[in-house]
Amino acid sequence: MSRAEYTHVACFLFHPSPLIAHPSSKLPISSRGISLQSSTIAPTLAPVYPYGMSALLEVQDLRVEFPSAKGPVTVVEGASFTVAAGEPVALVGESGSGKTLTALALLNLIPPPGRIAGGRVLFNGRDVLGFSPAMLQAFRGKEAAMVFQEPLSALNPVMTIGRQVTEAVSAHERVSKQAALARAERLLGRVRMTDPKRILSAYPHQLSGGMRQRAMIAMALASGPALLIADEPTTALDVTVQAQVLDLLNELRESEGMALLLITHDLGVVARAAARVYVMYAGRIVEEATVRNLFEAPAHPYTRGLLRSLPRLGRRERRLRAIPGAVAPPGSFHAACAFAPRCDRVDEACRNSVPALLQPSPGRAVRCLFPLDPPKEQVAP
Amino acid sequence: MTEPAALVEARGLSLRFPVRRGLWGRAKAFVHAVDGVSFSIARGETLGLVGETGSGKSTVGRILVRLQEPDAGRVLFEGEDLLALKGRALREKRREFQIVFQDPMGSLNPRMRVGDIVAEPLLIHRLGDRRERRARAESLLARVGLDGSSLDKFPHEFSGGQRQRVGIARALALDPKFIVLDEPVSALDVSVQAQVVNLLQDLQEERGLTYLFIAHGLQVVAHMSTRVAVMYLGRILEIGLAEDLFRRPLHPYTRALLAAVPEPAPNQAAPPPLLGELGSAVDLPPGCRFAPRCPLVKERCLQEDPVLRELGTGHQAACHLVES
Repeated sequence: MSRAEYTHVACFLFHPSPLIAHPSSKLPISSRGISLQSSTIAPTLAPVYPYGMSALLEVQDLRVEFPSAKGPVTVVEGASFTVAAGEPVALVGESGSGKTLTALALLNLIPPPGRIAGGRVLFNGRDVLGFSPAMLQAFRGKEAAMVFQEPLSALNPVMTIGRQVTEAVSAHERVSKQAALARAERLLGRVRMTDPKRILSAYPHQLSGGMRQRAMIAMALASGPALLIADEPTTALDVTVQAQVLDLLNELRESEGMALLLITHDLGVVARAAARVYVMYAGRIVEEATVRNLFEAPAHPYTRGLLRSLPRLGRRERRLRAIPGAVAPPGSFHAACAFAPRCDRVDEACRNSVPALLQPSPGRAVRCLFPLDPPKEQVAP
Repeated sequence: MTEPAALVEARGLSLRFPVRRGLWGRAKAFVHAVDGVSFSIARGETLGLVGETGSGKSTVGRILVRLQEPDAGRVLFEGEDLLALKGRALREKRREFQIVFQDPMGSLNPRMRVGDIVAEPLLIHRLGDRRERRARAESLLARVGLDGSSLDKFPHEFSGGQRQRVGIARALALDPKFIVLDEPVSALDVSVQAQVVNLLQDLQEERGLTYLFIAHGLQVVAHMSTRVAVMYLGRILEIGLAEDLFRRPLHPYTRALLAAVPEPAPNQAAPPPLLGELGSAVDLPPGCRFAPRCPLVKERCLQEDPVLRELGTGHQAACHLVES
């Protein structure tokens, strides 16, 4: 994809959304005592909206393919998920899990020769995948904007920050140069840049990594999108700066009433910045849960394996509990659970079919034939 | 174990790079990449070196294995001045210390077969004949968990975790005493990191290796290290036993760093993050280099550069404000 296209995505106008974000502490902790055995098989996830009344974004059975010498490789296989207005949701996965391609598909930005081979991306009920180029142009940036991992490659190196932000401001609205500049300055202030006036005339290379990412976020905010997709927004940043940017994203989410879809490989980032999470592995969503449920009672052996394998500050162990083997390449398991070769609960059945997504309770889903038991204690009704 | 003798000792290491040059090519400004760094590493222990980008932690690692010459300071290896060694003596000595890099794709020659990559140090030091070197490479690869078929494969045929195992096997080829591990797991998939960490610990136990473990991920440093040093703009701000340092951090920077670590546990009230970013190592402030970001900064911090002080058993911090 060209830089121009990327820049474009991070563009739009300003119509403050009236949506109200609820603090995550008020999330209902649903359904923790329900047994997985009695669960029903859900072909697509029944949407649960702890945040708004209806889903802002509803992805149904999304498939992304890339051609190869041996026929098309499915890199995203039947992904279904929802994001409610104002809600912070994370899509977490390792390399090859398909998380970034899923995010790009939401804006119909899959780089050729890849293609969206099926599914629907409903944004406020309209299917983005059926949009005309003109509709897409109006949609990208204005309704859903995206921030990328490496701001240095997403920003134009020979244009000042001021020019790039004003370009974002005027992408979806006719404004005078002066007004656009004034608004760019306000946007830089909103992303907590000290001295926005000076930053306006700076070039990307003159800014630190954290400042560049703030500039990208300012551009993404320019048209007041209802959804901000952030693809590994803090991976290239140092830990103290990462904390600043994550907190900034959530402040903005609340103050602008924006939903946040955070794409990351880092479970620490998920815990710090999201309320609900989807776990992806080798192109499939393997678990859905509230952040609290995920960390306290992971249902998929992969999720539990990941959580166990991480060294933690305050927990001194002699050896880490590693997951054996390597990450499965996407599309390599047409008719089996992709985690089977690494799983400690594996059975013959896991190698013969793709497990269906079980939905033990609303808002909780797991793609496993032998999911882990939910926690024993009951939540008070 | 009796009194641990230092295997490696760094004394007053400094290295600066010119950044601006004047009319006659004379440097007008310098980046102080490493600025008066001293520490020792006991035989068999792991010293963790943490810091953000630009803190100088990798440069310190490179100086210890003589990939980079410091402007000032000494490196003692078993009491011997490493920087004074030259030619043949240096080459002999190099067998005893090795380095493993972050990105195994960048540090393994893509045109060489893995067996040759692992055997190359033996070839350079003219050890064994062809067959012996191959047998040694095979047993090293087996030790790091790669089977015999990998000998004739190329690096691109392996996953990231396996490539890092190749890098480790190569580092072990000459039976070194000391290995600098420069972000050895940072580029690996999360689910594979633990395997490599466990392998490094097993090898250490088995072979009595001494490590300098450089990383920006605090959790993994806490797990691996006996002692930990925290670097900021070329200087060690705090050093101590891993348990002390993580349980009772003394320096405001260490505290901020720990507070910023996103722990994979929800509902932990995250403290407000530290303001600002790593400053410039070109124009260092006259006082404490952390002062511009320090939440506790006092007048004195802006004028007087603090030095490391002993504030607990083996626990030192460079800060005017902390008391033992």
